[in-house]
Parts: sequence; structure tokens; C-alpha cells
Amino acid sequence: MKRIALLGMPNTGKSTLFNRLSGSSARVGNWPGITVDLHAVKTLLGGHISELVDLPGIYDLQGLSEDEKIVQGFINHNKIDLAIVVLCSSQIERQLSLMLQLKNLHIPCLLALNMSDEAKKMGITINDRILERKLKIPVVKISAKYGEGMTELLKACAQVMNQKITFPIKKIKPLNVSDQISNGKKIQALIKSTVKFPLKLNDKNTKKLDSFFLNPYWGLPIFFIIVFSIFQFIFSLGKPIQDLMTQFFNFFRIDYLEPLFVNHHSIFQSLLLDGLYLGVTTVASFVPIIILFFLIMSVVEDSGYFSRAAFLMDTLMEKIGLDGRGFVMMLMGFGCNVPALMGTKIMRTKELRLLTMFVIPFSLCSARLQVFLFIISALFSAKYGALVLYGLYLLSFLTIFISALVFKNQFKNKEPIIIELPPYRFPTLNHVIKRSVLEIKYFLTRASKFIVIGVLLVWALTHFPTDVPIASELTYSGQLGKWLSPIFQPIGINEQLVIALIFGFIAKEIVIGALAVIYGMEGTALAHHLYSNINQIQAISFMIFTLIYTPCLSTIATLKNESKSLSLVIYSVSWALLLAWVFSFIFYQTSIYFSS
Amino acid sequence: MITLLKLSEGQCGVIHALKMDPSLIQRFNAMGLRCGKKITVLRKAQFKGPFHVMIDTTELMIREHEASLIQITPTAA
Repeated sequence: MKRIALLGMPNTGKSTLFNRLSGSSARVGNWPGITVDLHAVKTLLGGHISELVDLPGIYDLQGLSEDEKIVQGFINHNKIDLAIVVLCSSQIERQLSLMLQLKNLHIPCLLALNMSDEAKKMGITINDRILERKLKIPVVKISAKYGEGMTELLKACAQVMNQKITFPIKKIKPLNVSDQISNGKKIQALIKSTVKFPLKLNDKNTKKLDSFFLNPYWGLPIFFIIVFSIFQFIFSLGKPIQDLMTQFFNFFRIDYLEPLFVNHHSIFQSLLLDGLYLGVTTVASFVPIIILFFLIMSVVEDSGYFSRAAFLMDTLMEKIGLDGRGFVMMLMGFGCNVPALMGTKIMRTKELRLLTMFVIPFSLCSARLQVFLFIISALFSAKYGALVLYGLYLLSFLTIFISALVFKNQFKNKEPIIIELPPYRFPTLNHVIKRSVLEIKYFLTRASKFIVIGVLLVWALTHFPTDVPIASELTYSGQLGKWLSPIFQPIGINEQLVIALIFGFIAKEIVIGALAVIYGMEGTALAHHLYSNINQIQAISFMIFTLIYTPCLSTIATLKNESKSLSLVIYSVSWALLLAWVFSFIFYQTSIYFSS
Repeated sequence: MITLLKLSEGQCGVIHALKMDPSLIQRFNAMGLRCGKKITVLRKAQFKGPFHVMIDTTELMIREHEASLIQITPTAA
């Protein structure tokens, strides 16, 4: 099987081309020499069954950024039969250097001049025939977005792959200064003889849109309106779908599964229904939100607005070691942490991305909101309830900023922060849909195992030993609660509530359901019971702890997948537990002091 | 000769030198920031925020620290 790599700088439409060439069968895979997942597909290209790999967009083959290391690792450890170098035609002058560096390694390549329509509109003309002759490799003008030039591209692929390889492929070595200068001169000469630039570039649309979106006065308000609308759209549409799915899963359980296992031993029945089935449905409940999230976020990303958001928020975010894109993801975390963590993929600087992933779990997501609303309505009047909720939101922001500030030096960014502001472009539906499909596949294959195992673990804790009531103080979870009471007593959380917190590890929505099981009552009865058994100070302390202590199992699974770092996960969970305890302690003890 | 920091909105200059480690120079070059190129400051964010600059057809956001490493000779627009 032949291996074809897609290479190019960021924002050149490389992934769009990948989607066009790959159809719908793209998958995620591992390769020697690198630790991250790349998108790849098996396809018939140029008369060969080939594996087409979408490498991350990089500016330079030699560099030290995370993505550059990935590409270097890939090239040095995997034989490449063809490299399709994608470049943005209107930026050919700057982007040819990558092409030359590859050619110097004797990797068989061809050059795809993408976005040739955009260059034409700007009045830039490229003589591809002369360029082809001078470079001695095939050059094809394409528009990946509109599917132009694809036949020519496939023909060129076949041509290169059928050539005999004359020179062995070299490994990547650092360029010395004289190489750099000679490459620079070569490019200048090439550009001079093949590209005609207009006297004045006429990309009026981008200029106009920028003077609107980046306006010093209303740029930020517009940004917040856009983010708010996106947020509302994703989560107000996603929530009812999620609720419908939950209803369906319940219905399916009661009407089909329970009768099916009714004759089996009760512990086996419970393992299947309260353990396995709950795990699977927990995973499934994230699907609609993740799809919606990536449908919308790909539009924002492809349109070029995301980089503008980075510009707008950079002044403030720089102070806490993040950037504007991280800020957007953090806000999305207030809907659901899982897609927000997955969305940090767009940040290509490792440290920045890790720090962003580190703080997102502190965002008060809609699942936590459900728990708070239940407890607040049970224990507080409408007036004070609103105040308490407001306070919890403030606390969420506060913990984000504190965590970022504390860990900013741990995740110190060593790379220059230069972000390209590409021209505004219309996203294509095809690309947007395929992106969402890939993300959901990724989530399902990587996170489901972890989540199901976690749910089973909690199930075992709350259901064993088998001769005592479920989730009672005599189960392992109850014993754990008792054992932990010296820690939880100073923050006003009793043993029953500790069991609820153990359940809350699966998903925050479960906390109320868990309380129902623990106290053996539901709905209004449960609310009344809470009202008479827990005072307001204890309730707030419990909510503070629930807000901060640990994101749900799915968030942890996603954190692990996206960071590929177990130590980050351990770091994150321990820091959250510590912070939760400290905040609850401060609140509980000062409140007790002043109220007595 | 001044650094890019000194330019205000709408002003431009020719990049004269990149005062940094050679490995960084390569990165800057790849993003279009190379000696001899004309660079225009399109806008500056308030409160010492980032710069929005243009080189040929490439537009970039650069933070103050990176801008301070770029030496330029001011020219007319």
C-alpha cells in the first residue's frame, strides 16, 4: 500500500482537500514516531490503494512547535510515497519555502495551488506551467472548496507515484544559515518569473469586515453577542434533544430491558441495568451536544472569525497565560465541558492548550446547574436563591482565573504568539459536516471505554456488599464516606452527601438521582427532606464542593484523550479536589463563625 | 532605526533585522516576516494589546514582545 501525506501551512484549506479526497470513511489512527492521532483514510488514488494522511498544518519543517515535531516524526519514521503540498495561492511567496524544504529531502511531491479562485479575485496570476518546469515537479491549480482541478490533481498523483525513485529519501536535518539564505534567494527568483502581483491588492471585503469586527469600541460587544448566540443555539437546541434521548433510554429500559432480565439474579440484573446500561447511555447522551458544537464551531473557525476573537481578547488573556481562543472555549465550557475540551484542538501551541484544558473543568456546566437549581429551590427563597446561583457563577470564574494564574508558569509558553488572520471565507457545508462526524467518531472510540469502566466502578462501590441496602452507609461507598468524614465534616458535608458526591463523579446530573436512592424518596419529598435535614450553610458548602471538586467522568476521559497525558489528568483532579475543599472550608467555617 | 513597537496605526516600515535566535528567525520568515519586507500596522489593540500587521497578502496578530524583536526603517505608506 502506498502512503500519501497532505502537507501545508495552516489556513490553506488542507483539511478541505482531505475531506474531498477521502469521502466519508476517514478514521483516526496512530503512526510510529509520533504520539498524537492523525486523520487518515484508505482510498484509491492514482491507480493505487493508498493511505492518505492529513498532517497538521505547519509553517516550517524544521521548527520546534508541537505540530512541527509531529510532522518531523512522521516524515522520519514513515515512508512517504507522495507528499501533496497544499498552499494558498495568494500567499505563494511565503509558502513556497515548505515546498522547497520537502523537495530537498527527495520526497516525491506535487504542488497543489489551492484557493486559486481567491488569488484570481485579488488579481494575482501564477504561471503554473513555468513554475512546474522550474521546480521539476507537477503543479496543479485547484479549489478544494469548489472541487475544481481535482481530475488534474489525481492525474498528477498517479504520475508521481509511478515514477521510479532515484534518490533515497533523507531525514530532516536542521538548516544552516546559508541554506536558509539560498532557499530565500531561490524563492525570490521563482516568484519573479512566475507570479504577477497587482500594484494594489484588492481584498476589500476582509478590510471592511475587519474594521467592523475589530473595531476598538464595538468589536468586543459584537464578540460577546456572537459567542452568546452560539452558546444559546448549541445548548438550547442540544438540551431538549438530550432530554428526549434520556426519556427514550428510560422508556427502553423499563419497557424492554427490565422484562428481559426479570428472571435473572438481582445482582446480575443490576450490573447490566444500573452499571453497563447507565455507562452506555451516559456516553450516548453527549453525542447530540458534540455534533451541534462542532457544526457551529467549524463554521466559526473556517470563516476566519476565530482568529479575530483571539485578537480581541488577547490583551486580557495574556495576563493569565491564555489566549483569546482559549477564552471562547472556556465560555463554551459553561454549556458542557466535554466539547469545549475537544474544541481546544484549534490551539496549536501545546502549553497554551494544556493550560486551557486545565481550567475548562471549572466552568459551571449545565449539568451542575441542574443540581444547583434543585438544591436552591428546595432550600432558598426565590430572592436569595438567585443570589446564591449568581455567587456560584462568580466562583466558577474566580476558580478559572486563580487556576490559570497559579499554573501559568507550569505551562509556560515558549513559542512566539503570532496568529495568522486569514481572509474571511465562506465555510462549506460538506467540510463542516465531515468535521463533526470525525469528532463524534473520535469521542466514541476513545472515551466510551473509560466512561463505562468508571460507571461500573461506582456501581460496584454503591452496590456491594450485596446483603445491604443499595447506596446505604453499609456499602463500600458508605464505608468510604465514613472513612472520609474527618475530611468532610469541617466543610459541613455529611456521610450521605459524600455518597452522592461519589455518584457525582459519573455525571453531575446523577447527584439528585443518587440523593433520591440514598434517602429513598424523590421529587418534592426529597426536597422537603433536604430542607429539614440540611441547613442553608451546609447546602451552599455542598454546592461549592460540587462545583469545583471534579468534573464528570466524561470530562476526565476527554481530558485524558485530548492531552494524551495521564499526569495532567491527575494534576487536574487533585488540584480541583484541593481547591473545592479549601473554598468550602473557608465558606463553611466563616459562615458558622458569623452565624453563631 | 526603530522597533515595530514605535509604529502607530496605519504606518509602515521595511523590516531591517530580526533580533532573535536563528531558530525563531526561521519561524518568523515562514510567517512572512523577513528582512526587506514592507510591514504595515493595520491596528493596535487598546491597553498595550496585540498588533494587527500586514506583510504582502498575509495578515498577522503579533504580541508586543514579538513586535519588540522586529527592527524596521519607517517608510511612507
